[in-house]
Amino acid sequence: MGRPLRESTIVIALLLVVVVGSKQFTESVILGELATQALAAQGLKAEHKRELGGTRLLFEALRSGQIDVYPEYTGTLQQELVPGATDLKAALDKLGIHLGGPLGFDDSYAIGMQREVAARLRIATISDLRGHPELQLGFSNEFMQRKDGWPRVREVYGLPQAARGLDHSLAYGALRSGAIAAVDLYSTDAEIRKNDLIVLRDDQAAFPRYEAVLLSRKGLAPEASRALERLEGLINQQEMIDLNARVLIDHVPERQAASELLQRKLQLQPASASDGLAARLWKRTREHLFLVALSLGAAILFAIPLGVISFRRWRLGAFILGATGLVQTIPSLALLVFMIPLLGIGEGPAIVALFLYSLLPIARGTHSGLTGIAPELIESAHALGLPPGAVLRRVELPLASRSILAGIKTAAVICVGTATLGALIGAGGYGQTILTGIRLADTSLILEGAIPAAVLALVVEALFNLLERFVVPRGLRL
Amino acid sequence: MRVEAIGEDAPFPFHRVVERARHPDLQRLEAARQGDAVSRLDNQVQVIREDSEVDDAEVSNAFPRRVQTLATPCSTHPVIFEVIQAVKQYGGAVALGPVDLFIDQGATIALLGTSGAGKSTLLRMLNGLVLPDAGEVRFRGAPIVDAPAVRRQIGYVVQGGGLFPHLDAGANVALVARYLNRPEADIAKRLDELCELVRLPRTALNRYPSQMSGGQAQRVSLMRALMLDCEVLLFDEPLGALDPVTRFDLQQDLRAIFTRLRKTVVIVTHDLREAQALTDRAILMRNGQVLQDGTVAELIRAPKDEWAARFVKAQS
Repeated sequence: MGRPLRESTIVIALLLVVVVGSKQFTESVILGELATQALAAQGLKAEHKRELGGTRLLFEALRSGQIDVYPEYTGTLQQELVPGATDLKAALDKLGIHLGGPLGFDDSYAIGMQREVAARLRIATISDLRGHPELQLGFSNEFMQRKDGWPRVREVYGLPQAARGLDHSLAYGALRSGAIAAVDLYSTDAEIRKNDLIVLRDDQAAFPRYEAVLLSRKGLAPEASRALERLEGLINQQEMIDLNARVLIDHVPERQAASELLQRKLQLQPASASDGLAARLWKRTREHLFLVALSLGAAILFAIPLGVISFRRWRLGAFILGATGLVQTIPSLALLVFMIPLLGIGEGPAIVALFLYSLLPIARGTHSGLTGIAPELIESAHALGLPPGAVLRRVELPLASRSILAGIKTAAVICVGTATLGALIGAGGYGQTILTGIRLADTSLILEGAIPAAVLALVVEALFNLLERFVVPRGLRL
Repeated sequence: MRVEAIGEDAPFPFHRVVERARHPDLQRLEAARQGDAVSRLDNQVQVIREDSEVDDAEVSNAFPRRVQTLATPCSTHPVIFEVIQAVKQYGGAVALGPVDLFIDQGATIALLGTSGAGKSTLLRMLNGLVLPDAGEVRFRGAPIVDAPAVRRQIGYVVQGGGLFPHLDAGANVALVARYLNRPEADIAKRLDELCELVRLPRTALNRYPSQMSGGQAQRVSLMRALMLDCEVLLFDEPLGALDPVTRFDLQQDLRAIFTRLRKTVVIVTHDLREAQALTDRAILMRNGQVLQDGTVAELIRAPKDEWAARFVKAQS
C-alpha cells in the first residue's frame, strides 16, 4: 500500500484518533506515552506526537485541536499560559480546555543532598539547613538568579549560607567530593536516584508548585476522558524519579518504561514491543522521503516557471529572485515556527517550509541557465519561425537543462538536511530519532538519525548525477 | 515631375508603379516623402496620376473597388521587400534610417558597410526580428509583423551559423519541420535533397555542432534555413569566421546554390569581394543611411563620395 494512501487515511481518521502531544524533555514524553497507552488500553485509537516543541506550541496546538491531550504543570499554567488566573480550572475552561486532576507528583525546583550526609546531619527539610551555616551550597547560575530560586528560598527560610554559582553538570561531582553539600535540582530528576540524593522538603512552600496534570480538549469522547482519569493520582514523586531514571540512565525506551508502570499499577496489557532497528529505520526513511519528495516536487513545478518569468522580465525577475533569496535567509527553525499559526503542526507546515527553501536554488538555476544561452541561438530559434512556447520547450529549456538540474540537486540536498528539523513540529523523519537522541544524550540514537540522513543526501546527489545522463541532451555532454 | 499613370486599366501592379516613380532619382524620392504618397500607401487605395495628387476622398470616390483590388498585395508580386522610411533607434540614438529600399524577387543583394553602419539592423527588419520605430517594412506587399509564420517563409542564417548544440545536425535542420508535424518520410527526403545541394555527406547529419568544422556548420545552417523551401534567404556575415580556404570553397558553393535556386538573397558583409562573388547588387551603408546603391563594379568605378572611395580602396 502506498504512502499517500496512508497519509490520506490519517487525515480522514483524524477526528477519530486521540492525538497526544508531549514536550521536548523526557518526563513529558513518558507522561505522553502513559496517556497514549492508557487510551489504547481503553480500545481507543491513540497517537503520540512526541517531542513536539515548547510549552507555547503545545498549548496552541491543543487550543486549535491539532492535539487532544498533553501533560503540563500547574506552575507553568499559572506563570506562563494563563497568568494571573485565580481559578485555573475555570480560566482554562473558557479556552475550551479541560484541566485534569493532579497525576500525583510535582516537578518543581528543589534542593537535594546526599542521602548519607543528610542523615548524618539530620536534615530533612529546607528549614533544617538553618542550623548548619557551615554547609557549602552550590547552585546553577539560573537558580541563583531567578526570583523564584535562591533569592526566594533564602528570604523565606532566612538561610545564613552564601551560595556559590556553578555549572549544573559539575554540581554532582562537587557533591560527591564533599566540596558542596547541597545542590538545586528538579524534584523528579533522574540524577536523584543515580547519585542517591534526597530532596529536602519545602516545608514553608517557598517554591511555586509544579504539579503534573493532563490538559485535554473539551469535547473529548467520554471513554477517552475516563481513560485519562485513571492516571490521576497514579504516580508519586519516587515513581516519577524512577521512570525518568529508567529512560535516562537504564536507556529503556519511554514506551517500555510507561508500559511497565501501567502493568504494575493498573494491570494493563503491556504495549507491543518496540520496533526493531530495521523497522524503525524504514519508518523514518519513508517519512523523510515523503517530506522531501512532496516539497521538492511542488518546488520543481513552481520554481521552473518562476525562473522562466524572471528571465523574460528582468524587473519582475529581480523581485522574484530577491524574494526567494529572502526566504532562504530565514533560519529554518524560525520558518517552521512561523508556519504553526497558519498550518498547525505535522507534515503540512514542514512541507511548505521545505518547498519555500527549494524555490531559490531551482529558480536561480533556471534563470542562470537561460541567461547563459548565447543570444544568437535564441535569435536563430525565433528567426526559424518557432513560436515563443516552442522556443522555450525545444531550445531554451534543453540548453538550460544542466543548470536547472544542478539547481534541483542543490534543493534536494538542502531538503534532505533541513527535513530533519521537521521533527520539531511533529513531521517525523530522521529528525525524530536525532531529537530523541539529543534529549537522552544517547549518541547511538543520534547517529541512528544522522547517518541515514547523511547517506540519503549522498544517495540523492548520486541519483541526480545519474539523472543528468537522461535529462541533459547528449550534444551538451560532449 | 513625371509620374506614370494607372487607372482602371493600370498597366502595372500598383507597387511597381510607386517604386518606378521613386527610384530613378533622389529628388523624386524626396518629393514622395514630402507628399502623401507614403501615407496613402497604407490605405492601399492611392493612385498616382500624371502630375497630379489625388487626396483620399477623391480616391474613394473616383476609384471605388477595382483600383483598390489592384493595389492589394498579390503573391506573384515582383517586389518582395519594400522598406519605406524605416527608422530604428536604440536608447535614443538612431541606429538606422530613415531608409528606403526595394528588393525585387530573385535579386541577390549585399548590404555593405563598416561595423555600426546599420546593415545588420536592416537585415533583421526584413524578417521582423527588429520592428521599425517609424516607417514600415512590407513583405510581398503586406506590412511585416513579429510573427513566426512570416519568418518561416524567410530563411535566416546568423553569423557563425547559430546551430543548437543540444541537437545533432539532422535534428537542427528538421527542427521546425518536426514542430509543424511534417511526415518523417518527407523530412528524410528533404534532408537528402539538401545534403546533395550543399554537398554535405549524409553521415555528417548525426554529428553534433561541437563535432563539426566551421565550414560544415555553415552548410548545415544553410540547410536549416532552406528546409521549408522559403523564398528568401538572409545571411549575416555568412563567411565571417572561416579560414581562407574554407571561405573560398564555401563562397563558390554558395554562388552555385543561389544561381540554382533563384531565391531572393540578402547578405550582410563588410567584404567587397565577397559581395562581388555572391551578389548582383551592392548597397553601401554608412551611419544608418544608404550611401550608394548599385553594382559592386559601379561602386569600385565611381564611389559616391570620399568615404565610399576610402571604403573601396581599403579593400583593394
